[in-house]
Amino acid sequence: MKSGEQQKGDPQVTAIRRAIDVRLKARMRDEAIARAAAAHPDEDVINAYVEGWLEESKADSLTSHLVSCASCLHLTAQLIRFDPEMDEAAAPSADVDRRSVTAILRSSCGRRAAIVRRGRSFCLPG
Amino acid sequence: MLSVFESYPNFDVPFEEFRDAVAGAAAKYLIGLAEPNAQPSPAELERFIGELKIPDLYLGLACMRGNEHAWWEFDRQHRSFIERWTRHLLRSDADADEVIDAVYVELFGTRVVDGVRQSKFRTYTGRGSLRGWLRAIILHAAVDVHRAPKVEVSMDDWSESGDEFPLRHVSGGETEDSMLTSVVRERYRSATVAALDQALSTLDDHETLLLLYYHVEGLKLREIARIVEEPKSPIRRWFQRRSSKRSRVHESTVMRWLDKVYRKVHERFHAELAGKHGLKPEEIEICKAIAAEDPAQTITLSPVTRAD
Repeated sequence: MKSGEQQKGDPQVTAIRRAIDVRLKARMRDEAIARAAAAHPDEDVINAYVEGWLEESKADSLTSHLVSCASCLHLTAQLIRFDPEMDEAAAPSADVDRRSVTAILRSSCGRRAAIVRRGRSFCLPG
Repeated sequence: MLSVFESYPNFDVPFEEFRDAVAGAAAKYLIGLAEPNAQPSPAELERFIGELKIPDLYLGLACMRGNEHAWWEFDRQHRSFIERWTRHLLRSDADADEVIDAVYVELFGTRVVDGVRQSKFRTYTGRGSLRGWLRAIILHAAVDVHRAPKVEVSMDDWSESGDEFPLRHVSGGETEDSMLTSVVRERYRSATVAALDQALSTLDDHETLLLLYYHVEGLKLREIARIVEEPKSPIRRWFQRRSSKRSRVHESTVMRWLDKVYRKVHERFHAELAGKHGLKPEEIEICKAIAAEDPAQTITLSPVTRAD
């Protein structure tokens, strides 16, 4: 509970706030176990939800999923928490020679990584 | 829409493939909105296509096809962000490097099905921004890298800590009084959990989501206010349906909003304990203390004798 954020007020409300805090955390831990292998919306849907591009009925349906799915709830919270300044700080780079696409793909996929292009494969150079 | 073909002629995406991708996005997000299998109207389709992030979709399609020019462009636009965001999420450089490599492998795709490489880009529809989609991909990759050890540790922790209203186990050496206390406590505990769950279950999903973001995810009031302020935010739409004012949403607005939900839960929790469980006011106070109990502490209970 964030004591600094919420001002002290009605003791009844303070007590129920604490109760809700304890109960919801316990419930979502249980949900995390129960839903570990369940189907989840993909990143495209999750991002469209957070950016506000889902149609209302789809968004409502996803909200219902979020309140009972700890992992998707956490993913959306992380996206909401994202600092927009990071986007600005990471402006497109004109210089990508230090760790080129080829080098990244080669280190990621192995030297035999192939790109399928126009129906045929070719190996990355080098 | 066709200007992307002119802007990036060397991306080499056939028009038919691009058209199929747009149709796929519409099928995913528009079909069956009003009723199962309902087709969108031409106007809905036009608006939908107008909202798609066409340059992002085009770039994603070209990368999916393995076009090297597209990969260079993707790298120019997004690599700096991918590295910054991943290092922001993970403390260790080694972990961050592992996740960055895993993301590139997933985006490129190493599995081949029916002769087609399964690039992660095939799941991107252009409905949201490519940058936002990448954020979600990176978050998932970060979780996947550490999933196995984390699950093992946390499950052990949960079962050992007994975080949720821990039961006191009655050992053979306990006195009659302490056994009585345990029995009484268990009775109140059961009523408390049932009443609180019932009170929470009567909330609208959006109210529950608000509580979860604040209490479980630890989002700050200003972060919640920020998403409510987003013109197309699903939470904002819900908020506006319930509010006569169209004023700016500040942290204090979210606080008042939370306060309303607390009061609603409190009233229903109280009514449930008094009505369904037939508890007296002093017993309800005990239940409130149990509900709000810090798992690390214990409270002293004395049985309340019933008047009837």
